[in-house]
Amino acid sequence: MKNFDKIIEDGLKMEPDFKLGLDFKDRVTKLIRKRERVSQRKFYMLIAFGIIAMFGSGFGVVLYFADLSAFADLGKIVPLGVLIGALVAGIQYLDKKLVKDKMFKQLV
Amino acid sequence: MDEKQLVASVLSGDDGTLRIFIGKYERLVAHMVARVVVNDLDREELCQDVFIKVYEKLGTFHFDSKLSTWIATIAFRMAVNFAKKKKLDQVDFDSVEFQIPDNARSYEDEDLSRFVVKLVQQLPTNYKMVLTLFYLDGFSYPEIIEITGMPEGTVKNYLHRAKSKLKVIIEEHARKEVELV
Repeated sequence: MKNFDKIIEDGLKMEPDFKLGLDFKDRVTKLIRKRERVSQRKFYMLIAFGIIAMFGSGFGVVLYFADLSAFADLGKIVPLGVLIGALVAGIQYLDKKLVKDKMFKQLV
Repeated sequence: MDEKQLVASVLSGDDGTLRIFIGKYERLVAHMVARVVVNDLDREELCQDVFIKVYEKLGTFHFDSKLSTWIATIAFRMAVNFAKKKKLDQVDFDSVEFQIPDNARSYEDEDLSRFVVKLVQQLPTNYKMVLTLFYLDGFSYPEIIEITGMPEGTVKNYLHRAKSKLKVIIEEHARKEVELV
């Protein structure tokens, strides 16, 4: 008399014939990295488009409405702009070093 | 390397760990996909899509469950959606009419077990998945409930009904083979 319960259980535990190729890991890794690059490129393009649109529309408004002679001394505030830029970059750097890296190490 | 270290390393962008990660879970994903999808090319493509989705969502995994359970949940949903999209799952459990393969003419235990695999392939998707998760991948009831989103009673019912139905077919098949001999 056969033990049909065991036969069924053995059948249910049997591996399917299908096996993923040996290079499956490499292919998926490459594909993931490629998709990351594409999505990063799209993100940067969107940022660039946003910046251009923002400054372009601002500049257009100024050109259309403002008295252009009032901007004659604009060059004098360039160093202030550079200073603000450096300050923002410094804060970003400190944030990365002191906060984000620490959080990442804690996670590991 | 434990699960937390593995996930952190994958998220840090290390290709080597990503390969290890895929290698560790590819068997589980392949099992689930192979039970639902018939064509090998579709199977491979779906496995690939599952891992891409897993990678994209990995940052949202908070270790509330085992990593394998979480990956199986994604694989289950994607496989079920694939079956629905391709209209592979149009069969109701009670109306399943098993196609007996021509070469299933042996009475040996191992051949009967292989015959079981062919029968399982003809069950509705949810039944196949529950059987695979329980028997092949060794998940517990609570884990299967989490993966499939089915109530405990349904999971147990599926396992019981599927096994009973398979037993009837196998016994009948074996009896016919004995009569022929």
